[in-house]
Amino acid sequence: MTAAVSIARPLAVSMLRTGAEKTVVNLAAAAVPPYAPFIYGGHFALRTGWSAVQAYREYKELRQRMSQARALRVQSERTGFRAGAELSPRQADPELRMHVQTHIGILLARPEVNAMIEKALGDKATEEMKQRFKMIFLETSSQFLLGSVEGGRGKIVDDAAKLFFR
Amino acid sequence: MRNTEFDRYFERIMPLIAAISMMKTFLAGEIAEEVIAKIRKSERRTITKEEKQAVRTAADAAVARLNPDVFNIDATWAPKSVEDVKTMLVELKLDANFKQALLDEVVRIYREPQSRMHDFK
Repeated sequence: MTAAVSIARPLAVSMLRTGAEKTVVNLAAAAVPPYAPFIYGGHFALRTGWSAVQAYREYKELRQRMSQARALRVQSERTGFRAGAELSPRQADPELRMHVQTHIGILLARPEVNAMIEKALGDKATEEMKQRFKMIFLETSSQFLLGSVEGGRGKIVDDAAKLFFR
Repeated sequence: MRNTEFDRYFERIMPLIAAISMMKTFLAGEIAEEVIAKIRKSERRTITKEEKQAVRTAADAAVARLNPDVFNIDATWAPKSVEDVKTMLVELKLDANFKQALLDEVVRIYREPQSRMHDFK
């Protein structure tokens, strides 16, 4: 019952508002017939204009969110590869960390990674072995890639990041 | 395809990651076999296929999280074959205490869900 009321209320309010709006416009047009076309035209322009304003607002919000994602990407690369040497431990911002992890997921889903795994293990490897290797490969990749962003994950992780910038 | 610094870095270190992952995979297999033998000996019974699988999964989970530094290899190391990786793993002669700690960890991971199951019985 409560759910029905909560669904029906906004609908009823919207209908009443639209009805009232139309009644006012009709009354105004009837009161001054010579200006009726302008009244109707003005009302139409107002409604269209309001929709356009709403659409622009949504677009602005979306654009802001998109530029934030782009900024995060750039930030992650800058943080991770800052001169390739400054690898002291630091905790990355949770949002940035999540972004890096997502990027790692995308990288690892590439077909060339699968091809590399197949090539590395050779023909003799069983399907089970391939699956186990893949899981371990994912974890190790995360250690290296997140380590290049946050540092402090050990000597070999830091050395690999430094070597990249030589 | 967008080619960021991150992507280029990953492409460059992929062989090293693959080599380390291979070492981890072999080590996990070795540890799992030792744990299975230990359980068989201590409980004096046959280990089921499912139990073996559970031990292997526990070993993979424990070894996957190991810091690559435990293998004490150089960041420029580039093995040419699977045999090279196996040879390196043998040559490393991992510390006995470290291996024992790893075995205990695998047993703990393996027993943990089972002990929790017993609580509900």
